[in-house]
Amino acid sequence: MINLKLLLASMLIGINVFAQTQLDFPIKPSESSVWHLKESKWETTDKVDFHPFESKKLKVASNGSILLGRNGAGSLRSSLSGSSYRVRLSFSLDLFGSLTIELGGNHSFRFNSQENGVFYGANNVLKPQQNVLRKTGLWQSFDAIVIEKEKFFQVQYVKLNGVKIYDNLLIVKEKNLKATTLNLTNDAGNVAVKDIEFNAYTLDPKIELNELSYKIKEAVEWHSTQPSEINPIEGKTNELLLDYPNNTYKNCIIYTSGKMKVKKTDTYLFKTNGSGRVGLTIDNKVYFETKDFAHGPQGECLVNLSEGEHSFILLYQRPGWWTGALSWTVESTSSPIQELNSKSMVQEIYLPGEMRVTPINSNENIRSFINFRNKKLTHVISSGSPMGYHFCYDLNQATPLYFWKGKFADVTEMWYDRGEPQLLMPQGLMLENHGKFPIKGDDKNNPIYKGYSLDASQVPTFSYRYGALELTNKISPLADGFQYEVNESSGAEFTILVAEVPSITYISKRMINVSDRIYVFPENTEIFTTQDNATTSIWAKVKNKFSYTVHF
Amino acid sequence: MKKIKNTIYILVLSLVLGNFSLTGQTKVFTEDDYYKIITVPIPDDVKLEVGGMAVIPDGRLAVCTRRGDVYMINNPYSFNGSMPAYKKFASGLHEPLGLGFIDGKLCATQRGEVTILDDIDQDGVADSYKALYKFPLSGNYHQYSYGPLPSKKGDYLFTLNLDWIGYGASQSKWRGWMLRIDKNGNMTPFAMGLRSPSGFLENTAGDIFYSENQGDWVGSGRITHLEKGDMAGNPMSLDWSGEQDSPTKLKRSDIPDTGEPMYEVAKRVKGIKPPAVWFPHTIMGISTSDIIEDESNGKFGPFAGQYFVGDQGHSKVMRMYLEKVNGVYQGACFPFKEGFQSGILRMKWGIDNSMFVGMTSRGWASTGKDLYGLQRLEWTGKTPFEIKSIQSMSDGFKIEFTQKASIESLKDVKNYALKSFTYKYHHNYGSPVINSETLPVKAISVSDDGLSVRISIDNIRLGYVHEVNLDGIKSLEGLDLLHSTGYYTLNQINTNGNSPVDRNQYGVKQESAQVMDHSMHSTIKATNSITAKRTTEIPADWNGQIDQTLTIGTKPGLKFSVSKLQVKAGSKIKLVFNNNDDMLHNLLIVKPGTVTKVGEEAFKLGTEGEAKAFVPSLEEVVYHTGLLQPESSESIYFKAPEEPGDYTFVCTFPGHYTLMQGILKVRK
Repeated sequence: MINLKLLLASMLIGINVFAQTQLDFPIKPSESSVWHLKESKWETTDKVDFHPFESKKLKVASNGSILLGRNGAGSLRSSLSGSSYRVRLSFSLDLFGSLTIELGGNHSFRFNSQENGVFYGANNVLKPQQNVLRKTGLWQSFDAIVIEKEKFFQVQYVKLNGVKIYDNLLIVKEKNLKATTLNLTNDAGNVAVKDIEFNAYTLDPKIELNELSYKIKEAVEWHSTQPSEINPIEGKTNELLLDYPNNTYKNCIIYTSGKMKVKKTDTYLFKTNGSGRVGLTIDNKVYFETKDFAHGPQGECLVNLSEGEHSFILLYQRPGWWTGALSWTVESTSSPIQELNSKSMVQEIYLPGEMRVTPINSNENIRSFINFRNKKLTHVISSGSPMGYHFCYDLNQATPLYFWKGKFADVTEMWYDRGEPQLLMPQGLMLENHGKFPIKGDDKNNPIYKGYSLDASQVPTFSYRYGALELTNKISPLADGFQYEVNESSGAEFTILVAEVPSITYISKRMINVSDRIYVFPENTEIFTTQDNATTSIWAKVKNKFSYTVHF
Repeated sequence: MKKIKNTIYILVLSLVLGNFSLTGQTKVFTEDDYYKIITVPIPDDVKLEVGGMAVIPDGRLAVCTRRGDVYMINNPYSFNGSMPAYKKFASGLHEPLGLGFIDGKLCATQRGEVTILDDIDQDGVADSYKALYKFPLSGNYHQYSYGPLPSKKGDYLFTLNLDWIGYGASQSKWRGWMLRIDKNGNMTPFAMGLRSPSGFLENTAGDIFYSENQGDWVGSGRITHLEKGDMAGNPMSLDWSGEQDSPTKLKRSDIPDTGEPMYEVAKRVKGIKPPAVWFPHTIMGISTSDIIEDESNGKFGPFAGQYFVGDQGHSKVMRMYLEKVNGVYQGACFPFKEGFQSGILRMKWGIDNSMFVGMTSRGWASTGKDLYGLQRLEWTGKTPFEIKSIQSMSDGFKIEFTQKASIESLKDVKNYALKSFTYKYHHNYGSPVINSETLPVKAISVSDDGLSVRISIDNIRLGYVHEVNLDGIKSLEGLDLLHSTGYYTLNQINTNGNSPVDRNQYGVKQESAQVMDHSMHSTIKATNSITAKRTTEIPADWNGQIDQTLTIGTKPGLKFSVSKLQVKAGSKIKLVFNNNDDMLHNLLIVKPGTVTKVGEEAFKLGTEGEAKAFVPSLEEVVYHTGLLQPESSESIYFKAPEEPGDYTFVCTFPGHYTLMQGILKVRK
């Protein structure tokens, strides 16, 4: 009967491979008084709109919270210091703007149109892993964690716009090393900086787990995540239990409970990662419990915990034939990531290797499965260009799913061994699109994909039929984005959806800033917007031909 | 490589053997003497994981790869001693596993689309990727798509794998079906019940066959003749039988899951199509792939009109003889040629009557150690002494040979060993051999020319595989058979134009006892019996005390999840073996330095292997698990050996042991 039970379990228990992690601490900007403005040429303002294509004179409103360096204002020192810390800020550059973020000790990162985060050390210069610097005029995010070790500083990561551009950069300590303070330098042009947060870390563990015990309950049925209360197994343990002590054919749920000793009142971010499903309860409040079995990131939560003891229960369940794997970490605004369980097999299971595709002389096009909004899309092509701008396109819906810049694609899941999930993983700075068939019309009509052709640079032009419309669609890489073109041969008029975004700002009549990108429409294009709750949709009326450019 | 039994000891100074001339020496004839494997060189930067092949009339070979490229290979035959030249013709396809050449254009079958590739600007690189037909997809990794196969009706045949979600499933439309698609993209569902149908052909008579891999509802590899509306075994595809175009009304619930032989079930459930030929699992191969028919009229050797079937896991090509009796196909399979460099997925005839063999083993593993490869198989012009065919007769079989056999050896009943067996038809993955029965030969009638023999037996059974072993038969010149065994699947008894062998005149007496086993009634669990070497409950005298728990999983590509483990001698061990794979595995702990012996002995278990969980009865085997179904788990409890050393943990499922190993270090 064992196989029948497994069969039922597989049939009825959902398997989810799409779980993703995103939680982070809300930014709490440091007080503006930490910046030595009077010793510098920097100013403050409450609004900055650097033009994406032109150098224009700025209108400056004083007394805002945005730091503004104009015309190469030079250095701006702060009193933000620490030997281990996390720093986050946002900045924007104008056409000629150059900003250097100094992390102390003569170590800094520079951003301008030529340098997209180049690291300047005391004795060396390093280029970032990839170029994910946004277009002039858009806000960029900078995030770095530095941990002091005995003989070096470990820059655990530097993220630009959420993408790692340095990973475990080690800076050897030198004699007479200056104190680590955060300073900014406006090397040239105009720059703006805001939302600066500097959290000094203390490195001792902030949370201890004590008095661990386990309770193992068999699920009521093979396909169930519901525990039975009949004959649970209980005991003491020194670590999280991932395996069932007896018959592993059984579908069991392991509850590890105990005391959580919190050494400092703070906001804590708990993350779990592994094979199976996980739940976390603290002080009798359930913070998460994943429903489906998955490999990879599980639940996560932000919890405000006061100093002292708290109770917790960690739930773990996996199909009996899966290898137990669970990583449980915690971090806070004042402490780096701390592992709460000592045995994590996650690394061993999920590091199959790295296989990347990098376009060299012309576009590389790869059909694959793609994860989009927690759904696996099946008829997708990704097109990467040597110019560093890439997109993937849903052939079923005739629409770009993502635009991105930086590295092109990790294809390890597809080309190493076999098995799930067979996803192409876009690399770099991702921009999500609406993912819908863009032409307004009868919902009963489905677009009929007819194929694509390639130009000399291997850029695809997709062909469709939609009702009476005969369409082609081409997305060509530019130096700072894409040109999107639709041609229709029947001469019929139609309306096309360009974007669905939270908000828009008109830079000019035909130039729209939507926060993470800028749309530019040619003359004579009839565009309009509609509003639906928190979503603004940008539309265009089209006959024969339509195009726009998108810059990021 | 398994040694081919064909040793002859020549004691005369000069003897002419067919085309061979030997002088006073001992000569071992192997497959290589008759069929030669020639490796087609592949440039270092080309990852030729062959998914499909098409022979272009101008002599080029087109190959599509699992990474999505299509290469044109000029002069793959190395004519005039020059090297083949590779040119990338297309790229970016979604794991294409089929390639055709249609109306002057290449046609590739991607996971989700049939795509016509065209080079409009004539620069040697495709610039048009036209969609001929779109397959819906669930996104499951196991949704492979195959084709096109040109049909004599003018359209093309395609097959679609089932999903794998711990068992076969049809999560999007027409998964588990064979489809016909015409040049305008019009699709007609044709047959269903398919699981992993990577190979199919239409023979010169216009009949369609496909190959199936062992799996759920598939006891062993097999070739099935498909006609419109046939249900070839796995019922999951019937999820779409309610569709308007479906040629069947069968529902999943119509298919009994009793473990009876498929032939018996097919008698009751109209539409179920038993196979034409079973390929006994692990004996003939473990994963049947492509099928091609020998249309060379003798230019590829003595098997004109027969078929060759690839095997991915065993990196070999098998041979199949088919005959049609009372309108039903049946026939025999034979070993043919092994030793290819990787897992065979595709076979095509070259313009010189050599056979292109396209290979890939990534994630599937194979006895051929290379990750991929392209080779050609050429007939050397020498005729091997082989069983040419086995044919059904009213009271047994007629066996033909490729060369004249010694009349004396043919008349010697000791040279015949026959038995019959079959498989369970059930939802489990694979099946043990069931209802095995030896078949004493009752009469032998030898043809005057020594090219054939009739054997008369009792109890020939419909739906059963009949193993015919002719070890001992010699050619007129004293050669042993190159391969002495064939496996004939009997669906119809041929009573047409043949009368039983006259037992009064040709009767013989064979000593072997007729034994009937009842494993048909056993379950997988029972066949994996609990022994001192396999304890699945914690011993009572341990008092719940376990010194160390070891967890070992599996990874795709015949690997364990860990390669080294360490335990203390004599400690109480719980070993958790998680079979995360989509195929069967066991785990044996064997004494240091004995893994090859144990692996080979497991292989020799033959048709009895599955019932014994492929655990040979050897003292070198210290502990073992049962044979685990995909995505299942078992824990065993044992005391670590007292003798320190590097023990091996190994899977001995045939074809696995050379790759699937790890070290269990026992220390003091």
